[in-house]
Amino acid sequence: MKTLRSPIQYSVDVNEAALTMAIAVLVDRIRSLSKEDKDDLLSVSKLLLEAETPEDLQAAQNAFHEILDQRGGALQELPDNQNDASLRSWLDFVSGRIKRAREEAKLTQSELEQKTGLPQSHISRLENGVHSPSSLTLEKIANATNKPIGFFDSDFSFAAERTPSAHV
Amino acid sequence: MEKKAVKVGVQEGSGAPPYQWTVLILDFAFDEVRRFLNDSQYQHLAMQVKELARENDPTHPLTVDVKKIEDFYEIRDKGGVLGKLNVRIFFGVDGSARSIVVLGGIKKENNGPTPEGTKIAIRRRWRKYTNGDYGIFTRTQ
Repeated sequence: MKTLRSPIQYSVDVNEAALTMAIAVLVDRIRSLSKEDKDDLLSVSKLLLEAETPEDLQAAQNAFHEILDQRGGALQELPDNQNDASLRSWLDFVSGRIKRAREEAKLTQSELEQKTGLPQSHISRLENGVHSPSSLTLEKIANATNKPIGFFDSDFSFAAERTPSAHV
Repeated sequence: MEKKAVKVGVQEGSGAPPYQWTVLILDFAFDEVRRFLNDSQYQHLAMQVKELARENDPTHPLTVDVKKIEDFYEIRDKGGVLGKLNVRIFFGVDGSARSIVVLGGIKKENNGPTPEGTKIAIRRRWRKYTNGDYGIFTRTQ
């Protein structure tokens, strides 16, 4: 006489079989890794257990998936795109602030070079809106001209939230 | 005759002021940073990398905050057009190919150190680059 299994029992068996299969695939994948990748995976696994912040946990999870994915990649050149229209409003704003800060401090570009260590040619490109300054560059200029760092971007940030094209 | 646009990259010897290094970027690293950077923010950070390519020694620039991490480096930047983002861009320097290789990027919630998991992932990418796993780059022009 046959014994009929209940649908619930049958469902559990299928899930267990699927889980067993998934683990087998995972084990097979890990076995196929290079020694370096296995070492990295072990390090990342420890981080998953020890992560103290959501940021650390997310970083460990991303690394874990990347190692297991074994995806390839390709190199490409960074385009030398001279069309920086998307940056224009920021460049117009910050270039004006840098020039104003220098003039209010009564410094020439050469004197600002001496006080900041930034090349005069770089300062010129900044004031002409050709280059976007890094936070390090703005800190150097702020210190040399006795301006708060917010002078160089707080108004922009405020304006950008309201009217993206209104700050010149 | 119809003119066709030619895609020109950041190559050693081109540019004004001239680039001293060629800049390469991993295709998936590009996708990675574009997930959290808008066009302006991407252009701003691309400018910082290009500026490194103008330096004789891109690991000790005067204009960008660069820190050494293991065998690779990170650019730290925040504020301005980046708004509240605190961004790290990772790169390696291949002296023999005279190339700066952009390996990835993250946005951070604070000024603290780069997460260990990220360091492992970037270390692995640099290892794969030096092993030639990403192929040998050929110029677009």
